[in-house]
Amino acid sequence: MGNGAGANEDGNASTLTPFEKAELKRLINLDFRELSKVSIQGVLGYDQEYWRNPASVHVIRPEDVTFFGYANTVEALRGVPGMHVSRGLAYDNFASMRNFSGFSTQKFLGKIGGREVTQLMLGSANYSVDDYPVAVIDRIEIIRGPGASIWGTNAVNGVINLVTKHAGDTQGDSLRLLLQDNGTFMGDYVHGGQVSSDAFYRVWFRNQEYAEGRLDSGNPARDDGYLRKLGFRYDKEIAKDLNFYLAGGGATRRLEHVLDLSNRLLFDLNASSVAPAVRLGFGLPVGFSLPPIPLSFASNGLLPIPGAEFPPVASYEKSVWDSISNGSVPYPFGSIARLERYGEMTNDSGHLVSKLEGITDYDLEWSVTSALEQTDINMGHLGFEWKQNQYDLALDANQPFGDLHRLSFGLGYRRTELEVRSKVLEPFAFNSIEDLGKFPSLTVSNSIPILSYDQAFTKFDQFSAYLQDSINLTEQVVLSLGSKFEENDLTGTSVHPGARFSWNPDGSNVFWLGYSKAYRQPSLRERYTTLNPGRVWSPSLGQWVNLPFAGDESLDHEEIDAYEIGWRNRPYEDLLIELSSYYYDTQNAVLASDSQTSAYEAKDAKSFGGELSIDWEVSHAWRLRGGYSLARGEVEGERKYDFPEQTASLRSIFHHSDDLSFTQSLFYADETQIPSDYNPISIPAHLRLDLGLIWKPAEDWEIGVFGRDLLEPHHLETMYPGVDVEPARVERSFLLTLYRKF
Amino acid sequence: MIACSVARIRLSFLRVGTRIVFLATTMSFFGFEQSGAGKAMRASKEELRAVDLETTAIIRSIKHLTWKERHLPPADEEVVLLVVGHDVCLFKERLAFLIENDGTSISGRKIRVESCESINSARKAQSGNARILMVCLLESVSKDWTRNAIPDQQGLVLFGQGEIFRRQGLSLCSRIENNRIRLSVNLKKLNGIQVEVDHGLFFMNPVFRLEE
Repeated sequence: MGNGAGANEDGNASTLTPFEKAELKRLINLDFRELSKVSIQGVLGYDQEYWRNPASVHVIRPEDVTFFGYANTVEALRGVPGMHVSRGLAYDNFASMRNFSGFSTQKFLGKIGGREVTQLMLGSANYSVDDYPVAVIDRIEIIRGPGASIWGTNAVNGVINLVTKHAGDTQGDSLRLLLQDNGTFMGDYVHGGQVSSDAFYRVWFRNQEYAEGRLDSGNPARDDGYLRKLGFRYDKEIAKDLNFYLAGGGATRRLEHVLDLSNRLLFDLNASSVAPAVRLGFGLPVGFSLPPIPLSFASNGLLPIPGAEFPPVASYEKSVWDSISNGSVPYPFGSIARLERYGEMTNDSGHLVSKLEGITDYDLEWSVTSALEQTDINMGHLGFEWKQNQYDLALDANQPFGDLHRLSFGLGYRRTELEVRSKVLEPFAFNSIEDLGKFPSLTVSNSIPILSYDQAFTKFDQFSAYLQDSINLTEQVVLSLGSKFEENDLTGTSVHPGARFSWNPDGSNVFWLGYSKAYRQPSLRERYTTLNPGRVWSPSLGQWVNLPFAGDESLDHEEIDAYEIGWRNRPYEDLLIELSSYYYDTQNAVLASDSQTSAYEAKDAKSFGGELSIDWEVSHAWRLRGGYSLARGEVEGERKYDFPEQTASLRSIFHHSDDLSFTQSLFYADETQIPSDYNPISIPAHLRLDLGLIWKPAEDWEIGVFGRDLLEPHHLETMYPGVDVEPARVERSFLLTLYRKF
Repeated sequence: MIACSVARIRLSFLRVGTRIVFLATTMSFFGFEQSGAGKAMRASKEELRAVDLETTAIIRSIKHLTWKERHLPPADEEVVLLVVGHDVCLFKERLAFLIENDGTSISGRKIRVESCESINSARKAQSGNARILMVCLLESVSKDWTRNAIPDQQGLVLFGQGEIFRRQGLSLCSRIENNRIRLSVNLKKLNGIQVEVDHGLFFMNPVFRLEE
């Protein structure tokens, strides 16, 4: 039997299968340029939308952004099964994928417009800054799971690949304006033109103004600011099947961010005369080491600490600390002074990307990509700034080899240069013993920054190569074998093998299996920074003592054995059901340390779970997309997670007529915990409802009215642990959008 | 002891698994090629993929062609696309599905897709039948094709699948080039049969190649 349900005497299908029908519906909607790029013999890892692909792939189209009123693409990731998008302050949404992703986008590889945007310093990407106007976006591919053999290091939980359009496909003018009821505004303008018969260009500009929101307590969040971006792209067809493009962009963002200092000025109870009474009161043994408590708690009169044991006012510039006091925050057994300091957080960046790609007469498809990027990020609230210059050069190629093989291979080089500066914050500019652990050679300093960086590590080289073969074992069975090889200054040499297997027994089912050995290199913050988050007053020494938490230079790369299995079922052309499951066994997972001296430590972690997604075109007028994910994790045998254990989504687009559509989204996320050293915050499970109405007054125009988070006035989603005092409200909001398409 | 046995079993599975993968890979390089006869009878997934792309490109190109009103049947009648040849890849079904889903029409007339096995049958069907506006000749009949096997006729577009038809100068032809589908458009031929081509078809369009 061939690929269909019925077969004729030749053994070929006599009717089209549901997968074939769905594929034809996809192809007929491609423009000619996209159609010209569809290969006949595909290669796994490149052609993400091919239905035989043995991986969990989700594709977001520009209309998924505009039809749901999203300002930027990271918001559109909310509907992707296996992803959790949460909003912190006005300007940032955080996306994570599967378990132990880290707080933000730390464990998946981000590629935007042909360049890798994951930064070495934090090990994450800022999608809000790196975003593009929706008019120039072709698609965003989200590949869940580590396709290590092609993507390499850091593609641990998956890959997000944003692909921009050819400049020839953005000719004319496009405008998108978005206005929120709280005053948030975003405007994109794109202009494209033709230089010659085979050369095109576009330029674009974005202005985004963030309105101030409110914190959970009702206090102003002080999260207003702006982001301005501009960019260009030039495409030229040099010869038949030989194309070149040059693209670039720049961004500048100005915001404020808070640093929570409530638990940073501490009192050492152990050396106090009340220590025996405290131990007795809590039933602790004699000599038990008591943790330091906030100075504001120690001095509130609950404990009978003699006044002489407290630090002299001049020893820590009490007036400075008083000036940053703003009410109180919860603390075990009561409350403590809320101490917060705001500082400017700036991000200035620019990049250039060029790509030359072609196909030879021997069907060798190749591309050479180069990228330059400069980033200057100043975390004024922490007194930490770094400038990064990054240079990339990559060759990617693939070629059929006989009827059954398609080889893909490539080489890559990356150079990263850093300039890191630390600044002492005013509240901490007083004398302290730098590191009590270095006794007896103690030094006292009044210039200890919160975050300091080991200047011996500022230049990093990375070389990589990969080879993969997609083998058609039979018409129904495809096997992909390959490996990536990397040598980098951070973690040395690594080999990333991967195998994927796809079986298409009939025209409506695809079963697939995958194994990858994936790696994640620790971020520079995890390895080379020392965190000095607080000072402890020691009554016995009569001196302030710094509390250093050093990064760990010995942190090796995380090694993940990832096993995946999936089933894709299309019972008929308008319904697609996908089920995928995974099991990750991670050695050396870099997690927050429980020790008193290190910020991070390596532990073994396991995570497993699965995702179900459904895409159903109920009729020509109505489309439903839904997803559910279950994620479980354990660290050294104990159940832990940093990802909601269950998430679900249901989205609907209903076209009432050619010019009027309604959209609806429901999102559910389980409870999550935000860790803290004194005040852990529980983010309750929440259900979010968004509704939208899109009117097309003319062929190229869309006017949208959207209501977001309609079920409740506000709820909480996330915050920066250890930096924010409390989470910001995600408030019910209403938006108006105006979009003129190309 | 038990752990040791489990480890041994795991290892042996691993070894067997490695051997299977190695064997399968090696066989696929040297001995697992499908026979030529088999290939001719059964459509490979690459052939099916190529037909997906060809039929899509044909339907997209129809939108850029304009027939003279006098070459069309009455407005309330259907026009016909005739697929000729042994159709192992369901070329006809693909065309019909795309037309239905895309709502493609020719000058407001619905399109029906019909098929026949041989060029002789096609010639007979087409003779004097004004409803047939396009004949799609599959590669399986390319060996039977002779110049003017279906005579040139005003308003009748001939599409040929494969390089042989392109060399014969048909109005529209497909070919595989660099692992992609390309369609050649013979402008002179189309002018000769009085079918107009919207030149937008060639603007920024890497799928189509203009044949002089």
